[in-house]
Amino acid sequence: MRRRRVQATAELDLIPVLSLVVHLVPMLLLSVRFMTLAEHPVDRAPVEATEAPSREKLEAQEEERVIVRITATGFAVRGAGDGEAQIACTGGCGPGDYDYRALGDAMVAAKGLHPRVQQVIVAPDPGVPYAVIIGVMDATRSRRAGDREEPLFPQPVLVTGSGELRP
Amino acid sequence: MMDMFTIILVFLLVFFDPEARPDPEFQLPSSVATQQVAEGTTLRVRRDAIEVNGQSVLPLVDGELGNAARDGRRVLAVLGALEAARAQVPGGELPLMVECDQAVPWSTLGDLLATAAGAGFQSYRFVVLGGADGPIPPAGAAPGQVF
Repeated sequence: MRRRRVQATAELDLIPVLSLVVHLVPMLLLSVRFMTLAEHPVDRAPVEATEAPSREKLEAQEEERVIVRITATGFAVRGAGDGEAQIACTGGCGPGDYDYRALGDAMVAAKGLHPRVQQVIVAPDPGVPYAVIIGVMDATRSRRAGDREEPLFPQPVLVTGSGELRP
Repeated sequence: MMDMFTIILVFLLVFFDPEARPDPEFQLPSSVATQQVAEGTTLRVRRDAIEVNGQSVLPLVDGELGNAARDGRRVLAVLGALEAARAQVPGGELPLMVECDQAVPWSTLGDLLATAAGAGFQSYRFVVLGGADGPIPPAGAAPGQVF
């Protein structure tokens, strides 16, 4: 009588491993926070407002200009020929206490007065933190209305001093 | 499926650091900006140091330049490092990517931008944490893992 050969096969039981992995992957994914980096382009080096004005700067005096001063107490928004709008901090004037929403409203009004102007002069006081400058650039660059984004003043120029180019 | 999960698990484990904490000396501000970050020479302004392309060039004290050697507004140590970095770029036309801690005052940043202008950088990009919903209240850098 011929003996039948039986081939023994062993299969790994991967179910517990798979179960472990299925639990580990969501746990690790939950501990991850993805960070999105973006940029604010500024295509002009900072202007020294206290230096003697060049011919170009003197010519620029005749142009319409919108200036945002950032002080220790809030914002001051000025356009050529307009009055000055003072926007006080909402609290103790920490970086989160500046009223960016009111600044956005003021910039919409300034855009209405100066529809052709693309440039905004941003003049921070020396002690103003960088976060506030970025907040001002956010508020002056564009305004979101629903799903639409309306451009306001997309070309910021940073100025050291009061924002007045006259000496 | 087992292979797929194994690859994902290994990938996550490689980047997982259970002790990761936000760096108190360097937190980017939040912004509504969505423009993607371009390539360029990096000027990182921490509260405790200034780095050019990852190399520390000058210590700071709480974001202030203090008694750093200057020529007018130009900070000499930073000027030299930026000139050297610009010389390494063919054509020298890449913008300056400014990564600045949100608490650094304009007195410091303004002098550094004036220094960068002296080194030949006429345009620059402020790198921020993008995608904020509205005009910012400043927020800390994202905790946890960053890919």
